[in-house]
Amino acid sequence: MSDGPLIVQSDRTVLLEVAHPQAEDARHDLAVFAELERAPEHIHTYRITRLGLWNARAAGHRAADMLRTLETYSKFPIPQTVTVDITETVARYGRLTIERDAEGALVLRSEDIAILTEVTGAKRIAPLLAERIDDTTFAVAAWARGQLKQELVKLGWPAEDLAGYTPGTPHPIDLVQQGWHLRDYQNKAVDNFFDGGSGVVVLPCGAGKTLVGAGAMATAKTTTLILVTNTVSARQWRDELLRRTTLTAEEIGEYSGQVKEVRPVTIATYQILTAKRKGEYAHLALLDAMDWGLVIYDEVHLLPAPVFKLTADLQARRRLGLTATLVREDGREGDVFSLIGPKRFDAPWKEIEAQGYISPAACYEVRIDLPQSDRLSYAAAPDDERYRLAATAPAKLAIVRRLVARHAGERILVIGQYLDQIDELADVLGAPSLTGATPVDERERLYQEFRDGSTPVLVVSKVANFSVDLPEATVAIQVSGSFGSRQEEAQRLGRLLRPKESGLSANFYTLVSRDTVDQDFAQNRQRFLAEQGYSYTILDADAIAA
Amino acid sequence: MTSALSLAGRLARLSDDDLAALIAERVVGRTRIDDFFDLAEALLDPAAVQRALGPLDRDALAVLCAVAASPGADERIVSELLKRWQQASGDGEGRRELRLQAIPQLLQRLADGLLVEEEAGRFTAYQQVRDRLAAWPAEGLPDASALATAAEPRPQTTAAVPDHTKLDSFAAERAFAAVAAVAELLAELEREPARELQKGGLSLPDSRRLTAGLGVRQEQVPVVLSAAERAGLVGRDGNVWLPTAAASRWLHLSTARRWTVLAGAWRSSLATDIRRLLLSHAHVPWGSSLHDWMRWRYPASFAELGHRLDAATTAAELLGITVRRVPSTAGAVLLESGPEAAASILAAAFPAEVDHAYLQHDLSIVSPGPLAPELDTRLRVMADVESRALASTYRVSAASLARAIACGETAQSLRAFLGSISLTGIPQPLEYLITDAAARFGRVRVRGLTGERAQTAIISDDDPVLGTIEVDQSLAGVAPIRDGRRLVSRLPRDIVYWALVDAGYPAAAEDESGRIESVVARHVASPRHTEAADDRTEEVVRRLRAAPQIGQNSQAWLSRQLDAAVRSHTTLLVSVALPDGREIEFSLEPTGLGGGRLRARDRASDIERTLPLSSIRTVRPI
Repeated sequence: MSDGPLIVQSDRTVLLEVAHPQAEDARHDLAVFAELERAPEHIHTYRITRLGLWNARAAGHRAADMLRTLETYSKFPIPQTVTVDITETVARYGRLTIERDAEGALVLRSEDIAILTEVTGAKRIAPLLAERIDDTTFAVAAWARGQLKQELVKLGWPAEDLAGYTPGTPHPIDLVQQGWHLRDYQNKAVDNFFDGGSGVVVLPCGAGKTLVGAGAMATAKTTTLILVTNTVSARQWRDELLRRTTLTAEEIGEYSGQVKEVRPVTIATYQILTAKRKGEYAHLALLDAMDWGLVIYDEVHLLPAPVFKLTADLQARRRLGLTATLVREDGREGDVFSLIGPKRFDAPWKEIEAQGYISPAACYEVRIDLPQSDRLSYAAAPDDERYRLAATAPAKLAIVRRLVARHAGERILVIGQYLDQIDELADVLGAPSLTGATPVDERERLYQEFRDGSTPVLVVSKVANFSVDLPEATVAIQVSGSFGSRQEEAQRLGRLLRPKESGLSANFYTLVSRDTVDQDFAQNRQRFLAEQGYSYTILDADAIAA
Repeated sequence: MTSALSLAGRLARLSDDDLAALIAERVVGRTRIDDFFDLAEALLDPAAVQRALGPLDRDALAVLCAVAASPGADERIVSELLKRWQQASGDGEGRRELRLQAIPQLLQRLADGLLVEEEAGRFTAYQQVRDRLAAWPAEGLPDASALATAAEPRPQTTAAVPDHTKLDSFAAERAFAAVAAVAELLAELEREPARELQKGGLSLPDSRRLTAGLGVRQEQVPVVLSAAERAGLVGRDGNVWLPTAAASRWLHLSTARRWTVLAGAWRSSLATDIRRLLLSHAHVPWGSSLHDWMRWRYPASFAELGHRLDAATTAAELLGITVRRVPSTAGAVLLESGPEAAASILAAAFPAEVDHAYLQHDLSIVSPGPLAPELDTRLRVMADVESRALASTYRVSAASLARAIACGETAQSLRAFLGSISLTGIPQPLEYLITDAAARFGRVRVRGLTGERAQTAIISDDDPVLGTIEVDQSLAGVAPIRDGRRLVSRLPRDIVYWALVDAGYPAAAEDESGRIESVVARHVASPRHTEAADDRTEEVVRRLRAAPQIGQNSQAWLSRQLDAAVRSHTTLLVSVALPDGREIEFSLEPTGLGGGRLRARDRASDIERTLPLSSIRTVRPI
């Protein structure tokens, strides 16, 4: 124990005093087993969770190492409950293993007969097991590998999956590192992934997750299936792979609503994979269309629930998850752990930002007074209409114009949720709009014009939020947006955090109708952004010069 | 003669206080008691006898069994009987030692307890007491021989004692957490009292609220509540729990001093026997040996005493007196020397208090250690506690600032205080919020009305705001109606106030003179009301005194005694006035009573007699 930067609390949170001289060292060691929950400027909060501890154990760390980290940097004695909890939880990982026997058949094994008896007797596990081979071994049907891991995590006895992967059909893939190279942390992410087997790499938007994917493909050199959130993202992946690897256009296929190509490297959308016809998944054949040696899940925190089910059947293939956050709005972090794999790499946003790879953003909340007539309409409206009225208040238009004028010459994204408002904004600003209804080709053209500067202002709806690379945006003005979910804010900010060549810092404005439900949601947003470490300033609309 | 008759006579000679205590302690159920006969019968009911046997320890029970086995026994006979039982059990090493010299006191105690009667140094147990003791073996309770012979269980000294350094650090953690939990309990009850159900226990919503607020498991909430009650920090007002006046004094103490109060109250609350028992176990694991000893010592009331013991040991775990039922160093010192000495041991292990905090952009305030009590208390007025552990997290909101301003803070005082504790200045969003809250505070005011149909007026200089409130759908529940330059509602002021605050209006409550006041509940528990049960007991005593008294020989009293004798087949000495004015005494066993006549068998002549009640002068038990 020292007068260190950490305060370990009995509720399993760990606070880090950022200004402490040992803070960076402590953060480095702590991140191994604790999840960063909040990172406002002075005190960061980490949480020690079961999944976090198992993730660390999966990466080879022992409970004693983790406790030593806490003891080294803690200001106060470590609560005994935490010590006991870490020791017991870590000891649970790997007491069961899924492996292959001499004949190559899948088995569940444990030297601890009491544990084996406990888990194999569980109602949801027994049906996944075939016969008992001996005291320490149960046969497992190949189809049950994923489901078994899921259930074991739920029971608190996560199995180590040592059964290995099918190598897939070899396919030559190399990185073409001319004028660029993989950054150190990207290399580290790729190495950690291959050392661990399958798993998830957590990197902030703009930190080059696609390149980590390319790096993994160049290491695996095998046929690869890449699952992404939408078609635009699929095309960005394709372009990036063509630019950064030896792959040619003929080797990369797109499997989406528009095109159905199966090539050695196939990029498919989650949507097409989960599309149903007559109650059946219509495109499941894709999963077996080739002998995939690597499956990449982009934006794994958005992975639709049915894909988990399909992924349970893909356990024999090496899986890489890429995401900016392990937090899922649906709380299914445990399924990511058991079906995609443990976290293999995680870098705090600010740390990468400090290395200069992502640009800092300043966040502003602009509070706008509604005119009395709008206030009356708002007050008289039922609850379910209030958010829309507040979010689409006409008073916001004038402020958007002022902000656009203030940032003239910069690349500006104006983000809205409601189509009427988006049209109106596009009209007022004389800027093109981009919504879910915009055809894919048109979208790509608009993004391209935005990138090259011929269209400096773009009014976008939710569709632009996910997986679209707009590196030159330096200003985002959020006029309306749904309910301040943490995930959505991460995406919004991600638009601005991509490395800038211009050297301009990014500004993120949210416009809020004062004394309305809009302001309540803004509070969540403020909390999330400040917790991510970004400066946050509240302004009155008057402060934005006309 | 030992029976309801003679017992009734003894009862009549007790003081009112003794009678009240006896009724409260011993009478089971809700039998109506109109006179001393009723009371005697109620006390000799098997359940009441069992209750009387409960507090008796093993020594007293052994002596009682000896008296029961030998009616009319004196001290010597009792002593010899006990020795004989011992000898019959063999010479086993585990045989207990009898404290024969204590027999006279024990006999007197049994007589005072109305379980035996004494006449000239000879003792006889009531028949109902004998019956009850005879039934014990069938109910799994010890018989006379076992009571006299079974050896006293010894503490388990063989159980593995864990590493004491670890144990003590665990104990300090628990002590610290317990103090924090009680502080949170007081804050929660101050904010909103918790309701106690008629059947006992907290209402479910309150239990859940306190679970979240205290940061403990739900089953621990009653334990924390009891700890606070023992220390006089919370009390019941009707069916709600509230902090007492002592609570605010306690909140200004240091952590160690707070613990001293809680632990001292725990120690003082222990019954003498339990305290002695725990003291004898101050350096050994409590394990199951406490229960073994309690069951041995108080076989008749183990269930109840065991429950009290459990309550004491559960509280000991909460307070860090024990850890997993092993006394900590501080716990042992508490039992042996008292709370101050124990607290000084713990204080060294408590984290040092801090007097500064980090104020952050997300409006959270984090103290990198336990914040000094006076700072914590003031900060809580302007910020809500989000988590309280070694380091506490508070969060400022528009509502919390409005609350602080209503309690007398100003933008300036808020800035000065926050600036004084902040390690890093006041972040812009917080500064904005303070300015905004102060500027808007009181723009809408809510005042209670008297003598009008409406209960509350909503007043504002800003007429458009009133116009908005008037049409606001979310305020439909309070139904504000325009009344000239103000709005009125039929609901009480505080309800209207909270509705406005919830709807986001900058409302302030004011009193009738227009002075702003805080709406935060500031109740304080008043001293506990006299229990309703006490009222009932006193009523019974009043009835007993008003009923015909023994010795008055009223017709009613005579009938009552004779009726009891009929039912219990008791033989009485009945004095009868003959027509010539003489009085003659018969030894009679009454067999029937009716039509103004007593039918009875004459024990001396073995014939049936029928006597007019009007000729009976006195009756007395043989």
